[in-house]
Amino acid sequence: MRCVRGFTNRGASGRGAKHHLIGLLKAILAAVIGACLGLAATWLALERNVTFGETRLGPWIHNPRAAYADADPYTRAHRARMGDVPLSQGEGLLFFATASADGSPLDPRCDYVISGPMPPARLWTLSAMTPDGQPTHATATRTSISSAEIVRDHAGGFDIIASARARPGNWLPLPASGAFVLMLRLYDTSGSAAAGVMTGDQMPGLRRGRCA
Amino acid sequence: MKDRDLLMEWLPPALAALTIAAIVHIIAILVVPRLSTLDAWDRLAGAGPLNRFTLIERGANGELPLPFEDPRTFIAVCRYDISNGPVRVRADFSSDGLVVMSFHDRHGATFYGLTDRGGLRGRLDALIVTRAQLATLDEDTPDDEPVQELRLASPTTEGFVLARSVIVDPTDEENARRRLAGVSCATQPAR
Repeated sequence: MRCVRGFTNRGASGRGAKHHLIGLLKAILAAVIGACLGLAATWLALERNVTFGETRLGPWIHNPRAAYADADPYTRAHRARMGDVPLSQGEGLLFFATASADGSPLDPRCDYVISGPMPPARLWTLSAMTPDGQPTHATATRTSISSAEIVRDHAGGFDIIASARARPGNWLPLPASGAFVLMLRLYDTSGSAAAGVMTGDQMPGLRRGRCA
Repeated sequence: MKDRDLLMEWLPPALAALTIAAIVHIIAILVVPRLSTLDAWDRLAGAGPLNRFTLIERGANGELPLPFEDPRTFIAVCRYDISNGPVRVRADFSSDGLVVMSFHDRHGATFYGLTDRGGLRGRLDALIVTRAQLATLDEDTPDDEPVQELRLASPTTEGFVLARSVIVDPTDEENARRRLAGVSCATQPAR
C-alpha cells in the first residue's frame, strides 16, 4: 500500500515537473511572440504614418499639434524618425492630401483639379512632393504654385490643374511617374482660419479629372 | 471536447503574448524619439556652425536635409547651445515678401513661431534662454525699465531656429534668398 502510494506520488511529481517545463516554454514563447508583434506593430505604425491627432477637412489632412511637444506619441515618434519640422500655428497652417475627394489615391497618370474656396491667408502655396517629402522637380517654381501667381476669373475664383502633362492656365506639374502627395501651406492665416473651427467646405476641392 | 482542451491550453499564453505585444509597442513608440538619430537636429548637424545662421543648400534635385519643406522656400538654420549663456536672434523684416521663423527644442518641438508681421516695428530681437537664465535676467532688470527684447525660455539647452523665406512668385527668387541675410544669431556677451 505504501509502496503503491509512493509510486503514485513519484509519478505525480514527475508529471508536475514536465507540466512546469511546458508552462515555462509557453511563457517564453508568449514573451518572444509578444515582443516581436509589438515591435512589428511599431515599425508598421511608423512606416504607414499612423497618427491620431489628425483632422480631415474634405481630402485635406491637418494635424494642429504636429509641430508641438504635446503632439500625440505616434506623431512625435514619426517626427523623430523623419526629421520633418511642420509649420507652427504662429506661422501658418499645413495640409496634405494623399487621395482625391472621391477617396482614390493620387496617381501621376491622372489630372487633378483644385478649385473652390481657400481660407484667408497672406499667401498660400500648393506643392507636389514625393511620399518621403522631397521635391518632385529640381526647380522650386515648377514643383509648386502660389496664390501670388495664379490667374483668377472675374469673380476671384481659380482652377489649378495638377498634371504630369503641360496644361494651359494654372498648371501644377506632377512627376511623370511614382507616387506623390499634395501639400497646401497657408502662410500667416488670420484668426478665423484657426484649423480647429474650420470645416471641409471652407477648403478647396480636389477632383480627379481624366486619367491617361 | 478535444478542441476545448486545446483552447484552454493555448488561450492563456496567447492572451499573454498580446498583452506583451501591446506593452512593447507602447514603450517602443515612446522611446523612438529618445533613440532616433535621424531627427531634425541630427539632420541639420552638418548645416553649419553652432549659434550662427546658415542657409541650407538644396541638392541637385532640390532636395533638403529636412523632408516635407515647402519647395518654394529658402531656409536658414541656427543650431544653438545656451548652456554657456543666452543666444540672441535678430531679424529685419522691413523688406517685402514673406519670412516665417520658428524656435525648436532639441527634439524638434516648436516653442515659438511667428511671421514677419509679428516683430516689433519690423524687427525681431529675441533672446533664447534657459529657465534659470530667465530668472536671473528678470531679477537683474529693474521693474521700471521696459524689456526691449523677447525672452524665450527654451525647454532644452540645445535647439534650433529656422527662418523660412517664401518665393512669392518666380521673379522673387533672388529677393527671397536676400531676405534671409536679415536674420542673425549670436551668443550673448556676458554682462
